[in-house]
Amino acid sequence: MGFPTMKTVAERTKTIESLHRRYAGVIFDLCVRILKDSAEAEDAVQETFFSAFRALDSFTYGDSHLPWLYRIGTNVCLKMIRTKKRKGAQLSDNIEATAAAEPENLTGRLSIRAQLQSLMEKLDERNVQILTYHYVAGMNQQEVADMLGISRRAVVKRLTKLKEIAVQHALEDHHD
Amino acid sequence: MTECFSRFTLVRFHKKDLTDETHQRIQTHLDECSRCRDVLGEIQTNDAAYNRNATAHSKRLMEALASEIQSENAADSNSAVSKVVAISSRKTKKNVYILIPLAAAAALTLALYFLPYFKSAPLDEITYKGGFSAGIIAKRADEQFTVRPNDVLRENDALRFRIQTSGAGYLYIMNIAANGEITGLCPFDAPLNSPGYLVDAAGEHVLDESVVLDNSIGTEQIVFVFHSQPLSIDLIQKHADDIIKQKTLPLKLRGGHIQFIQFEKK
Repeated sequence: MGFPTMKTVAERTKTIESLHRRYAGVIFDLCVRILKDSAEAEDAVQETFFSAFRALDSFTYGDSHLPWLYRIGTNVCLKMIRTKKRKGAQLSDNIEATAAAEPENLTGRLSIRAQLQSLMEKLDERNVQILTYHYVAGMNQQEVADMLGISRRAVVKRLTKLKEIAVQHALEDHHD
Repeated sequence: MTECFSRFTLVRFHKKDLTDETHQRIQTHLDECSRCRDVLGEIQTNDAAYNRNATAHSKRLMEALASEIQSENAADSNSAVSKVVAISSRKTKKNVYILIPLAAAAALTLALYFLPYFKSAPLDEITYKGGFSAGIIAKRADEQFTVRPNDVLRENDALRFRIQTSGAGYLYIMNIAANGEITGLCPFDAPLNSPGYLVDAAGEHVLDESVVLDNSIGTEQIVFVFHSQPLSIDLIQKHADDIIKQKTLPLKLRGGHIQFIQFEKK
């Protein structure tokens, strides 16, 4: 018997150190956009690479590790937000900022933040991911599709549905 | 002007994570689009902000990994380990003494597993407490045998090291020659700030590398240090005298195991 476990772990450690050196800064950019807090974002970056170390064997994103790290980083941040029960508050801040800069504003003149705070609590995990990738991480529809392993058409469909839900929520609250 | 790029694409542009063709296309677009330049500037600012403390962040990551390994160690110890014999430094760890049927059964299995290797060894020479034990396999010509404490070894005997752990951690092996000279044997050919061999899982491991004995004579010892933290070889060697005198780990190294195996060279 040799020392395969040790060598494998040493190689994995080296890989993660290398990935951290190259990509940690842009993962921080992602995390700080989702969490809106530098200190928490730094924690999230650590957690991202820590999780990556454990999941390195499952890396299946072709040549680049960046989309894979983005996915892990997004999940880490969403988990942190869920843990602290601030999902709506933080995410909607970012979604509002991103959506406002887009030609097709998510809910027009309605208060996006107010609607999304309640909306986020009601969405399933996959829809939260789609919103985060698109509106916070700033991915286009094709990039979201690649990230989730689904078709672009499916992403478009989901985003359209989510916009409808958001508008509906906004109208309901407006009438209330 | 061409269509604007997504933020994620600009991140990949910033990290040169795209094909040359795409990179050039974005560069051309950036020359004429202030919006994308602003987004790229924000990405670059955040990247630079994080990397101002890159060394500290990297160190923290490695410590977090080590801490996780330590946690796994503790979990494994609680479930499957009991004291067989010990000169371990972790005498204050009470959890390893909790006898539950599962732990007892697991310990019995492990003890039986090791019996062939250590059955004739004195109790104070072998450690198996809370998850670590070590042994030496010697090869002399075509003969291979397990080195027992105070065995007689000869020039050109080749030694290989075997460890059994109940969890992950870092391994260091030193040789103390008859003249007191200390030589690091594991990690082999590693820089002094190396964290040692990282063992990432419980189980038996045998190092590939072997050590061939020279023609010196006298009493020698092999010291095994197994620690949950990524200590440097440098730090281990600084404490080597204390480790040897006290046959236990100094305060700064607590949280690990130590084991000596002594033999005669003739």
